[in-house]
Amino acid sequence: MRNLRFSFFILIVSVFFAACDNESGSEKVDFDRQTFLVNMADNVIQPSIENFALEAEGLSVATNSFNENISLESLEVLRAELKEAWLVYQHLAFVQVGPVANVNLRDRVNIFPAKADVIEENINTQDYVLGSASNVAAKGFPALDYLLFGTGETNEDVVAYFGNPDLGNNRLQYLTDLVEDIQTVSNIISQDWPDYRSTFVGNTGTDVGSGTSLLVNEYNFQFDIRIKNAKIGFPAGGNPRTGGVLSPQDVEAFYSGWSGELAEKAVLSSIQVFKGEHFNANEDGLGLDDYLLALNAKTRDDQDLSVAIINQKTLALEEMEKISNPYSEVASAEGSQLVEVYNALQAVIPLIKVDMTSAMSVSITFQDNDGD
Amino acid sequence: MTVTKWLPKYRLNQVKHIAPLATFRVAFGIMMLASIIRFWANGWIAKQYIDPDFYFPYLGFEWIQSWGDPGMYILFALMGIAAIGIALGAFYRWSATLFFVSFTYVELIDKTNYLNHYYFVSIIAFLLILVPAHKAYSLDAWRKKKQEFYVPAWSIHIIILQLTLVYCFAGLAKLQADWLLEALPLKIWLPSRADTPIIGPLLNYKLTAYLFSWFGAFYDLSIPFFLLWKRTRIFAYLTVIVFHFMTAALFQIGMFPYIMVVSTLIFFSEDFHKKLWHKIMPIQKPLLTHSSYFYKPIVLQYFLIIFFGLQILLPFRYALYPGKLFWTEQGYRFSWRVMLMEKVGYTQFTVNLPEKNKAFEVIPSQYLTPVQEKMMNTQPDMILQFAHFLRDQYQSDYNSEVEVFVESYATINGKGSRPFIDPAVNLATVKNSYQHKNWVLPYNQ
Repeated sequence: MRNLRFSFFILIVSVFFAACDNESGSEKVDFDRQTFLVNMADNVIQPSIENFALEAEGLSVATNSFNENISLESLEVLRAELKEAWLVYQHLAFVQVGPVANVNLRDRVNIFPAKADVIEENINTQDYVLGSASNVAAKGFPALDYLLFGTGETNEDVVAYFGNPDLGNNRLQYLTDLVEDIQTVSNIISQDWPDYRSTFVGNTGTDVGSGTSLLVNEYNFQFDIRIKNAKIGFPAGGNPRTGGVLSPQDVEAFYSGWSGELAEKAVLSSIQVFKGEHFNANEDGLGLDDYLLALNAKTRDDQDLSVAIINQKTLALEEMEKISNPYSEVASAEGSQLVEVYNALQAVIPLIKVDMTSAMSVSITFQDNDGD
Repeated sequence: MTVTKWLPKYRLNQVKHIAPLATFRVAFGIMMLASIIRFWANGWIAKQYIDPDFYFPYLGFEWIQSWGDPGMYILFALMGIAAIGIALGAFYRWSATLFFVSFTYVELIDKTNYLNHYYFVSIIAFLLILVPAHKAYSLDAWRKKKQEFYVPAWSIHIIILQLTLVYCFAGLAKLQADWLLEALPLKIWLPSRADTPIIGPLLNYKLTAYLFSWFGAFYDLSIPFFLLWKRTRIFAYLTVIVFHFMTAALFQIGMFPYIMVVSTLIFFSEDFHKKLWHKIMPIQKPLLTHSSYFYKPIVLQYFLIIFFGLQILLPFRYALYPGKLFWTEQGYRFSWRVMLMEKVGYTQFTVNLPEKNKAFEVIPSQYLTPVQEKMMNTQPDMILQFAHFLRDQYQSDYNSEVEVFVESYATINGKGSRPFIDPAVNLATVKNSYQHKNWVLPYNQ
């Protein structure tokens, strides 16, 4: 009996070792999520927050100057500051965690297309609460885009719009309120971040609410819904492959025509965040790509998943770089180049939303209010 | 030697002491009450059964719907009262029936929330209706001033049989290449839990995933038998505790481990349970009354044969469908396939109104909770249900013909995402049925 049991044991053990013949016993996933989170917190998110606050400050200063002296020159300066801040936002939008999520940055400052009629009504009535639901598309960068570009055919017209004897002051007030709102948001974020940091790097699990899970989910949401859909898909007529109705007026930055630059900055930022690249220095820290490598995550064709993601995003970026005109003009053209961009971006989605989340074993749990 | 001597003589009505059954009744009732309180406290009643705009009903059970607010709270309160009734053995038949009906009703509202352990609870609750678990050590016995300590053997054995089936099928489902030869999906899941105290660092090792996989399969296939055998019982039960507590620490599986730990107590002997009861209750003079459950159970006998026969067949129904089971999930539910695959999907819905020359890209999270969306993304029947929901929505909004197409991808066990549903098929016109879903693309195309 004992002999029999022993042989059975030996059999089990030998079958077991035969089964994992190819695998060396010490093979393991060698990745320190703590170090990864610290890098993301200190070298990616925090400098991004600081930078955003800096640009918001610049925007505010330029607004004050414009207020004091409405001129073509001060308008130019203000526009330039708006662009800077808007570009910097594209990076921060990828890491909407902690205080950035608490203020709901994306919805607070970048719901587009802006509703010009709501903006004008607010200006006329002087009766508005920027935080109310009816004003989500009457504030933030898109509303500033309208005020600084959409209120006149020429630059002189825009200056005249603010210099109007009847409504000029109301308009300036609204402009100031919008900029102040952005600055308030950026201040709250930078004030609250240090407290949140320890929570973020402290939860090294992969559950809902852990740093890794939040990062991945927010990252994927931003890429899929706010870039692929909002910046490209909706203006190009929903899913362009199905030949929907084009809505060129729905692009980001419709009035200034910065849609292409902002979208390219967004995709570039997505690559930087993915690699865990330091915000300021050109240094590659521990990022999602390193995590995927450590997990030995592969695509169906046995390519490294991290490589596949970066390659596909670079491809999308190249398609975007081919477009020099504003997307509103491109979207209305027949056989739009935006379809190429859309397809290239869409090819990223299964890699990040399916393969990456699966490999990291985090669940998709974003609560969405699609405002765009 | 005659053959008949070798046939086990099983008598349904063999006299058994009620103690194991009574312990089971109390433990199950308490566990259910705890589950309901936990569910309520976590806000899941609202999150799962009130908040969603849309539910995924089971085919043929579309008439089962959420009772909304406060209806769902009332339903859960009733369920809680019934659980207390089971534990105390108070108005037992009514309590057990009410619990079974209310619990099963809730589970049938939305496929999203399907869990094998909810299915297990439904079945056990149903079996509890049949057995005289309240004849002693209960409020009913006290109320009627009559303790009946003897029950027919079948009333204990069907529960043991049920537990055995759960373990064995869970074990059989693990006997496949991914689980045994590649330690999947544990090889993916365990490293993600490397922050677990004490054993965490070990979870990064591939070898650990293999050990867990093999041990898990062996455990499931053998544990009921080690529990049945007196000589190994104690050791087996310790294993039960370690195994289930380990799974509780590593995975988000809620109350299931604890339910199993207390349920398997029923494998212990009469004497064990008698001693347990005598610790809390004075020893009472056993009186052997003629229980109404000692009738000649011809009807019951056939009913139980059919009931368990069906349960044995259900897990094999997948064989009636072509294609890869994990991919199409045709015949996946109600088969004790527990923690078997890491599957993630993505679905993009496009609604076309050809008459109006309009097209919409639908963002499912507008209508679905994150969990609903996650579950739908990997299960073709749910994708179809949501497509039909969109069809009806847009049809009434635009009063126009509607086409629904999807672009979808899924991956199983980290083998790489691949197209899932045929993007050329207009799901608006596909009928929801138990027929083979030929609009699911083959796994290896």
